[in-house]
Amino acid sequence: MSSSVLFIAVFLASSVEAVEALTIVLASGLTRGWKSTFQGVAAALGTLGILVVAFGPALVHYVPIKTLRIVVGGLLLIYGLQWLRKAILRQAGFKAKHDEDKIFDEKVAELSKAPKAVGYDSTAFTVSFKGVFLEGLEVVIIVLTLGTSAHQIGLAALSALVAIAVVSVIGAAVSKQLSKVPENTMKMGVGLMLISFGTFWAGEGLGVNWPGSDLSIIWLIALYGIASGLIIAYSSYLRKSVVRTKESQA
Amino acid sequence: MKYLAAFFRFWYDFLIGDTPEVFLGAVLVLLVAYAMAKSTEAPAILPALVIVILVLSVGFAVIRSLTSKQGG
Repeated sequence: MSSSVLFIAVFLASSVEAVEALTIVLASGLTRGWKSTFQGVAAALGTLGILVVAFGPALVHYVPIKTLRIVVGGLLLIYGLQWLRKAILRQAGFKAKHDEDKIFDEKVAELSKAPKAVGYDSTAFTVSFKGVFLEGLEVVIIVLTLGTSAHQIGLAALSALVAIAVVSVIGAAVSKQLSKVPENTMKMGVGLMLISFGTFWAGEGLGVNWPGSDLSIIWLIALYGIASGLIIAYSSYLRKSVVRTKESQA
Repeated sequence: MKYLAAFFRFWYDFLIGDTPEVFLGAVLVLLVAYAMAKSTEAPAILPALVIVILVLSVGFAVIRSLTSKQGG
């Protein structure tokens, strides 16, 4: 049961990060050429692969599972709350939604200004390397934290790879229409799963006895989902009330 | 030295960033979980505490946004 929740959590989180990385890669490839862009992508993926191979087994073999779950639980709580908070603020209209098309256009404009290189293009390499490495680093952190705590690092890595492959194929097909991806809804789902795993593992690592053991993750997701829905509804109501008051005063 | 500074900057932004209340809240959850580990009420208290932290963090952002809009 928790294997499927783990797979979905890693898949959604990796998809969101992959969409953000793909926006940068497409902007770089279409503006500066594909050869150096792909070299940058390959170098970033290679570096990330080394990080997983270096830290994954070490975490699993040398850190006691209880300690791992306390640390990972704390990290997931922080990261999940940050994601969920942003998604709630976007949903309630307090924060602009992430517009991948706008980011793409800005990146294209920025890259077009730099002088074109013949052969190896260091701008394309650096931009795609940084984009893929930084977004990929977040995927690596999620894979390592969720995977090692659940003792299913292989499944977590597979889920991330499937997500990256799916986003890459769809991204290549739709080219720059990445704004169609329901990014905020996905971020909300990921935030809910991360804080649920975080609460569960932090508690379990410290000796809390969860009723139903792993099944608690499901009711935690449902509970946090209901709470988030109520927070969004009340925040939207507040925002609309303030707008109405200002309009009636004007 | 430059890389060490970048390493700490990454983790500072990752853990604290512009939401120190979330970081402090997560630390509080861990402390409460440690203190109440053997209590049968812990599975109810911990999620409730997480929801309170979420409400506070969103609430701070909402208040900041509404007061800045009213001021401007």
